Amino acid sequence: MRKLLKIEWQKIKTYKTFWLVISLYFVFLLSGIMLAELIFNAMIDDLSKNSPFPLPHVSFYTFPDIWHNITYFASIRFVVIFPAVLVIILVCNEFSFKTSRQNILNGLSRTDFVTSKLILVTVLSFFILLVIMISSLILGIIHTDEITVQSFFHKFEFLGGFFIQMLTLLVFSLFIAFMIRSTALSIAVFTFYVIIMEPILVMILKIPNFQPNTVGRYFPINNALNIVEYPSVTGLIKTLGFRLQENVVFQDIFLSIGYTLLFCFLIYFSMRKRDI
Amino acid sequence: MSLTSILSVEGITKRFGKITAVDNLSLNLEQGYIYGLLGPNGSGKTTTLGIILDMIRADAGRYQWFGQPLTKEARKKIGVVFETPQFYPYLTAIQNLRLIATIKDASPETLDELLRLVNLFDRRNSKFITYSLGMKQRLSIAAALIGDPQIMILDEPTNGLDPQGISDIRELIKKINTRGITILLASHLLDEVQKVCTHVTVLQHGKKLFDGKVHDVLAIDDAIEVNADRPDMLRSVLEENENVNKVLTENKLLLVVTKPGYPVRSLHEYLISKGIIVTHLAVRKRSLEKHFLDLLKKEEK
Ligand SMILES: Nc1ncnc2c1ncn2[C@@H]1O[C@H](COP(=O)(O)OP(=O)(O)O)[C@@H](O)[C@H]1O
Ligand SMILES: [Mg+2]
Repeated sequence: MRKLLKIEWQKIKTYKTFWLVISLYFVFLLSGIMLAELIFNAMIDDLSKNSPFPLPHVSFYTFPDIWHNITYFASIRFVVIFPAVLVIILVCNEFSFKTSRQNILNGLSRTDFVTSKLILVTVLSFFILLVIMISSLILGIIHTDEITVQSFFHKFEFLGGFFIQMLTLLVFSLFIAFMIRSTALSIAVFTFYVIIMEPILVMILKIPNFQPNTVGRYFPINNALNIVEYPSVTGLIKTLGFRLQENVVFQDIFLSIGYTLLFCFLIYFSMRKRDI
Repeated sequence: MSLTSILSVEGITKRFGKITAVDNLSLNLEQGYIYGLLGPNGSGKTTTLGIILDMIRADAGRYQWFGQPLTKEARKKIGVVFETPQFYPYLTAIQNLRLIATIKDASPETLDELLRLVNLFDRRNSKFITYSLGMKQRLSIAAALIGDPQIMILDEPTNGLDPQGISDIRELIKKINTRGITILLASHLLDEVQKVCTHVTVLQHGKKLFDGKVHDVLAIDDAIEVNADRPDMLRSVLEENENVNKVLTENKLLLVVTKPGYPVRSLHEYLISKGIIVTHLAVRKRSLEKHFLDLLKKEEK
């Protein structure tokens, strides 16, 4: 275990692409949330003009909403594609450099090789979670006037939900990479499925009787991304009387874990059967 | 199975669709020798190596390493050098070797010595991607030596190299063998097998055509050209000698095939003792090359 972790670390620590893509991910997610707040407040200003009462500006960064909002922005399809593509690059590299073969010839079993990649995505998910936690903490402390224990820990569970969500996504990208093995094709298939095919399918399934929740809700990516739903601004919700997601739904989490285990099994199975 | 058996292969077969890439091949490698796997391109050398290293699943047959099935512990005692070196291009030479040492549970302390052995110590901090093919291939050899292997397998290690590169690699292989490491070298170059190997297995269309000691293969059919002042008598005198296997006529010369180990000098003395004055005497080494070509021709028919 420690050895496999050490091996993966030796592979990425001086790999510039890795650090570049992971930094881009954080830049996109943080600028996404800032931009969203700006746009939101601009819209509120607009609405206020015709409103009988003034609408308050919102902050995405106050406790406890920050936990929810930042994890939401960290997992919208266009942003989450960064760490997923990164995982695809790391795995397909092994096949295109033929270092997968070299690793196995040097004494990693095929199972060890897959395990090392699972460790990689788990640690990567933790790392992302950690960076998100720290940035939320800083942003939250700056923007919240009065921090109470209750406001701080309420919605803290979204971090856990986010971890499962990220892990499921990365294991899915791992699955695509292990099956296809070519970087370009894997990225294309992953992007097509996550950004185009699944959303369209989900939409089509809703059409016949305009149900909000159809079987599309349970597709792997859709399910995972639903763990953390639309961002929330408690102040505004109270004002307008909206009801948005307050809790992580455990059914989504369990299903995501189920998908993760299934993908892991398929990866192990194919590595045992296929030539390397 | 002898105690020093490194690898034994029994009847391995591999088909790719209609092509039988390896056909009922058996091999046995013993410790300390340099084995050549010789055959033209497409004769199944790489596939054979792929099978015994468990990268390709065989359709039939068995193999054992050190008398046991191939485990990941056994792999650490097998160094492998492929035709195309396989490293992380963005890591430096030393980083690549350290990674392999981690995988093999080997101490990283020997790495500097290995880099010196393959003459890359000065370039150890350059990224692999900046290396020339010759340097990459030498790095592969260094990598294969991490963790003190008992055997080193090389697949066409000199392909694409310049003459200096080729000779560097061949010298290295011999030097490594003097450390007691058994070598299995796949090559389509006869000359290479002849220069480097002690044993050879000739493959064609995945079938074993021939195997034996390179030295024996060379010695089997060495012919001695002889001419004398009395050609008529020469033939019968030669045929009387019990050390002579065959006498052939070629133009105005006689070609004599003697028993292995019978010195030319003795033949000369024998002829003198029979009162024959030799006017021409030359050893015609039938090179492995001719053998190889003959074998291939025979197979073609
Ligand atoms: N993965 C593969 N798929 C289909 N045919 C293959 C594959 N690998 C090798 N072959 C075929 O098997 C035969 C033996 O190939 P190979 O073992 O590479 O020979 P060599 O290494 O002696 O040049 C060739 O006819 C080759 O085309
Ligand atoms: Mg080959």
